[in-house]
Amino acid sequence: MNTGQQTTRRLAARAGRSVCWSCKDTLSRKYASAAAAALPTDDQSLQHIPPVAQPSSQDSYGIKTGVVLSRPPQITRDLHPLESAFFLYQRRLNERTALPFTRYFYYKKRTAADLEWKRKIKQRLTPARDIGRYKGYGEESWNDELLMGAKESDIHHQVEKLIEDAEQTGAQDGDEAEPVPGASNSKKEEEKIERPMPRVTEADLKNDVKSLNRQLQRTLYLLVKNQEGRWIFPQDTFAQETLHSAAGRVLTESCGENMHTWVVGNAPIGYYQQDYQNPIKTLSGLRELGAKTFFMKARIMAGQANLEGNKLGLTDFKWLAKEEVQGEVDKSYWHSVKNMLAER
Amino acid sequence: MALRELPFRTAATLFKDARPAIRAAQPTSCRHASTEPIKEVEDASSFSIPPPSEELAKSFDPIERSKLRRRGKEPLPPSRFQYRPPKYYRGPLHPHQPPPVSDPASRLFVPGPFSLPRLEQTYQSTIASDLLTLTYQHYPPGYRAPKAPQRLREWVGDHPYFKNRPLRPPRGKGDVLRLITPPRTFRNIPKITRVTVHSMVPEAQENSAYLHIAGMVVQAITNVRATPHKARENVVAWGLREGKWVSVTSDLEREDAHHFLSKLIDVVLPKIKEWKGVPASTGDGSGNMSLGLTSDHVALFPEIEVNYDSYPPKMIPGCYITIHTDATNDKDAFLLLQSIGIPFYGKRK
Amino acid sequence: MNFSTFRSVFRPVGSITRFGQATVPRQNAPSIRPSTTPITGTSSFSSTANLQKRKRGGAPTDPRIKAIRYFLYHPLTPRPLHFSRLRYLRHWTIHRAWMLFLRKRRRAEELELERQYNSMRAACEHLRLMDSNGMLVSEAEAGGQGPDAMRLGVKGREVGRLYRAAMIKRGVYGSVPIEYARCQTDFPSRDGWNHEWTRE
Repeated sequence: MNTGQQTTRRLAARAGRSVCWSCKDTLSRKYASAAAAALPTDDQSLQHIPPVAQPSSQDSYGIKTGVVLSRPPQITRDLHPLESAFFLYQRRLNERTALPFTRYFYYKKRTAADLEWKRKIKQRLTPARDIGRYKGYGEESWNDELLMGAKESDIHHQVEKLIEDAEQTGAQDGDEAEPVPGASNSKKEEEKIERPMPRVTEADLKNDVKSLNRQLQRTLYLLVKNQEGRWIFPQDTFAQETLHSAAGRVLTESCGENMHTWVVGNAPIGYYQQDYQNPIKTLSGLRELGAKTFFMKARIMAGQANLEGNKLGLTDFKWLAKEEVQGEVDKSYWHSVKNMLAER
Repeated sequence: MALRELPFRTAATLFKDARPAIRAAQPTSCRHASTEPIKEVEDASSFSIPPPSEELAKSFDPIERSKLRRRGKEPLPPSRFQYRPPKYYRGPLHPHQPPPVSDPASRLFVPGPFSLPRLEQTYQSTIASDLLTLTYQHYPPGYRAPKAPQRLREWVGDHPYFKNRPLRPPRGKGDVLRLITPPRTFRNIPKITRVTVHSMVPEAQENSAYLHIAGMVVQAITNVRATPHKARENVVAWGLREGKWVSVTSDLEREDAHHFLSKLIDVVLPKIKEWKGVPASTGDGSGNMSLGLTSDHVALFPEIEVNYDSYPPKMIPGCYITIHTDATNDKDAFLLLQSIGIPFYGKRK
Repeated sequence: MNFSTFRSVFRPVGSITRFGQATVPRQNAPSIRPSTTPITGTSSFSSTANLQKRKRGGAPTDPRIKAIRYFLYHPLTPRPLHFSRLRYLRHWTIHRAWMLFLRKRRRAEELELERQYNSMRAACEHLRLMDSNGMLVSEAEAGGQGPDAMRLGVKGREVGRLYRAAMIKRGVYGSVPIEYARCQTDFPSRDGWNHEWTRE
């Protein structure tokens, strides 16, 4: 390789320093902990002046609690095309390797259900209703693979087929050979079975960011707009409280009581440090250089946020998924916050 | 050149980022007999060939194609290679080795997952990270867990035969030490590994019909063939006679376990009348929890309800369901099962 | 019950019937036979006579039990698959693709958990080294070295108060509310999210 001498020297210097973080700390802490163990616990140690200039004892940072309130995903995710194709492929293989279906265990002879079964098995050749028309044994059992563009692997198609099977008895127009007692003599479909609700809800179509029915496959996070007009997670200063109890208080004060929430655990999941351009003088005479926000994780199980009468001056709220949050918040805030949020 | 002067390790770290994801064929100094073909194999990619056109795809009919080649109803010629997997395993040195279980020609081939269970998806998206947050324990950087000391005691005393004697058995009941809980990281979050459904029927010792029905019921509920067991010893209190077939179990893994648990939690348990929940003191100390269902509760499973009349009356057994988890103690397993949806009552001892 | 319909499809393993069902030839059997009456008609291929001799006294076996026994030990068992070369190649490709896909998925899940863990770790480390004014102190002055979070450093209780509170696990192990433990479903509920929940 043709690298210049200077570049090589620079890279080598950087490479020499590329030890992993924890090993680097072990090496530095070895001396620190030895020193700590050796230090006597009295005032003489405090008179020792370290070589690095210590921050002045009048400086401070404001400590705040933030809450990352999230609604977990409500429905299963969309399957990758490989996954849905693979699952159908395996179910077709199952047709070829499974024991035969024990028909008389489930359908008594000469009942309406038995006749229906006989009709339907001729049409679909297999007890399974959602793998297409395929028979695991016989002349054409070798042809178990689906062709390109086949719809059988799609979950919506499979659900349609199951519902169709439940609704129709398979009787054709000329099929009046056996008058079976108890069966309605109708060639038309029986009462319609309720279709399941669609996975893409109204809120998705309208893109209603205040609704919690949107993006049911993803985790939605609560963002609020503060007085400065910035979108952040709800936060507030606190004192004489643990982070866990402060988080609960922040939630009720900012978003109202009508939310069934649960603050997960006592430990924070992340932090954000904001440095002010000009330090502020606090009441206790300290010089506040900035604010540190420690975020707690919370989950919502029911209810909706209500910003009326909140004491933190919040004007608006939104429920957004991870990449949408990135679009709303500031760059430095996102940098501190992104590792806390879930991909799905 | 400067490169040759640096030691090997630095050279490797230097070019760690420069190394591309896909290894391009580098011109090497040594040439093997296979150097030329390797270059061709590495450069080829199946994605460089476009997929077949739509008309070609639509016009493809495998049955027609086969009929054209078959020339009527003539039997197919025997293929040149008739492979039958060996029925018995004769050791690692035998020339005929059984194929891997993933091979469809294997006698043990079982078709793979048919779905992505919703319990597994819930665990992966929600529960795992919440458990991590709940049980997070902070260790400062550079902290190394101390090496586990010798847990079995030595024989201590004047007695001359104490020297070199095997270590003493563990304290308390049983001959197995309890599991040590390792420090919690993102890699050892407790998860459900296995579910065992076990049904013991003392009447089966007289009349085998009870055992067959228990086997059928367990197979219907779990989608796994049940295995029967004999009683190991005579126990008058439970009516066991040694050597008689008395119970059936089935072990569920992965997809089966997740489907069974989601069915249990969402369909069966809510239908049980006046059910207090699972006692919170359940747990074997190693992260496995158990709950029991009576015969009426088992009849609530959809697979039994659909053909309840096919079973003789009063012969459907109850069962015990044991959920094996990754956890190493009771409270972690308790937390995991709570977050999945099993209601508990009482105090966790 | 006519078990002969299966015979043409599979290769039977062992004897066809084990449980005393009379294999009556078709011309002798009545067209409709109720399942509750015992089978008394015999022929030279039937084993009913022998089995009736064995079961003395008491009612004959419930036909439901006989049926369950037949279905459990079904005589027709499929044999291992035998693929042609190209079909086998396609299966092998699918298997490899699936293994790769699973590996990528597992790796992505691990990485996500690792990111969350590292974020928590950074926050807790910051708390450990932070005093009540929000300023960071040096490692020597902070407490919590080693596994014991309650250990105090040189500066005493001022430093890391929030850290010590965060590491308390009291009340954590029974705290999961039952409403949280709701499995994802394939399709949403009819009522959707309950926006109108109120704290009673």
